[in-house]
Amino acid sequence: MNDLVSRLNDLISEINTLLRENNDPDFDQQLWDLRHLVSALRDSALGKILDQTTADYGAAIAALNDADTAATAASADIAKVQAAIDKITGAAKAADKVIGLLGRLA
Amino acid sequence: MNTRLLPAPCALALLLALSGCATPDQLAHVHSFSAAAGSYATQARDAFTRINDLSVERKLSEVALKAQPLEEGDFTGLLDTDERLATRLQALAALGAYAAALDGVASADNRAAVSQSSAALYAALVSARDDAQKLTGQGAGLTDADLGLVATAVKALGGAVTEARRAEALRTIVTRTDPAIQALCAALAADFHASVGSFKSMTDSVFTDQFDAYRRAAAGLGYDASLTRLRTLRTAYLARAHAADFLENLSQAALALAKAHAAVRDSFTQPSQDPAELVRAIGQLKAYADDIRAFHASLNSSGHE
Repeated sequence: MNDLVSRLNDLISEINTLLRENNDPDFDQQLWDLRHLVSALRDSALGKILDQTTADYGAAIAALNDADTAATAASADIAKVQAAIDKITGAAKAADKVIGLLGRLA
Repeated sequence: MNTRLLPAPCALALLLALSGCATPDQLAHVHSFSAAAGSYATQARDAFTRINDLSVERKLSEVALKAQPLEEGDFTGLLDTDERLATRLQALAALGAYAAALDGVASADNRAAVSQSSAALYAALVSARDDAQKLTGQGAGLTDADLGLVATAVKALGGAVTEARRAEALRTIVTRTDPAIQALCAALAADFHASVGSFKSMTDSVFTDQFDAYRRAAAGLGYDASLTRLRTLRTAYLARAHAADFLENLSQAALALAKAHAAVRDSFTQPSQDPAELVRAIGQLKAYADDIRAFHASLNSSGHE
């Protein structure tokens, strides 16, 4: 299919060269009609080539979205380290409160 | 309780945690990779849109020249059917989001917050010690320096745990995602390579139509109008001349992106490996991304969008 597209593009290139060199309106119209036809064939063939990879993109979208979610969770996980220290601090403050209460009882 | 012994287990834990840390070099490579991959995703999205727009422009150009009658299909681009463009743009958006998220993990910096938390811990410990002393009427053998040591160790440990978690997260994410990145890059490289000849041909057809239109109108144009038309024609001429390089670069850049991601993965799974290959792969990717960006900018500044 790649070879077909390549040959059609070569043909369009030849037609374009003729169009730029030619000054005869009737011949121009024949060349335009031919180029119109060949271009449509080329677009169709190229479309079929591109369709072969479309499924790969679908699979990649799912995997990359998963990775995005994992990375966001990892960033949140890193933030938890600070939360752990805050928990220890909270425990120390709670102990201080208990000591204060004991002091009032004594 | 001899609190002076506390730093020893802390130091051991610190050492254990540090052994799994990401090095500054590894993080710098992740940053470079993410920036280049994000830039590539943007340029590739623009390129697919440009291919599609050009496939419409080619048809409209024939109609404007009165070479062909207008048909409804003339407004439909090559990639508009069967979700071709939508799927590709979605995949590239996902690639851009992945690059940004990866950079986010590499950049996550909670050192200031950890430092603040450990200072609060120190204050709480001092307060508890002082109250205990008031209650018992005797010292607990804990000096400010002892408590400061504990708070400093907690702070260091917090930093080390952060780095260890970061390294583990990056290793897991790039390893799991690598097969998808390899498949995506192979598809991008194949698509852009397959489109090179057709993209060039489409620019050639548009240039030819503009060339013909100018030739027909030239006799009736004054100097200024003629020069303006010729400048437009030159833009089309330059676009035709650079069309092949533009898409071929995007194809090669996709392969460089795949190689760089594999090198980043290896830097986490085989950290003893020589980083030269990683540096080379990322450098190559960045060079392609810069080239493509410069080319896009030149097309936009010349008004050919």
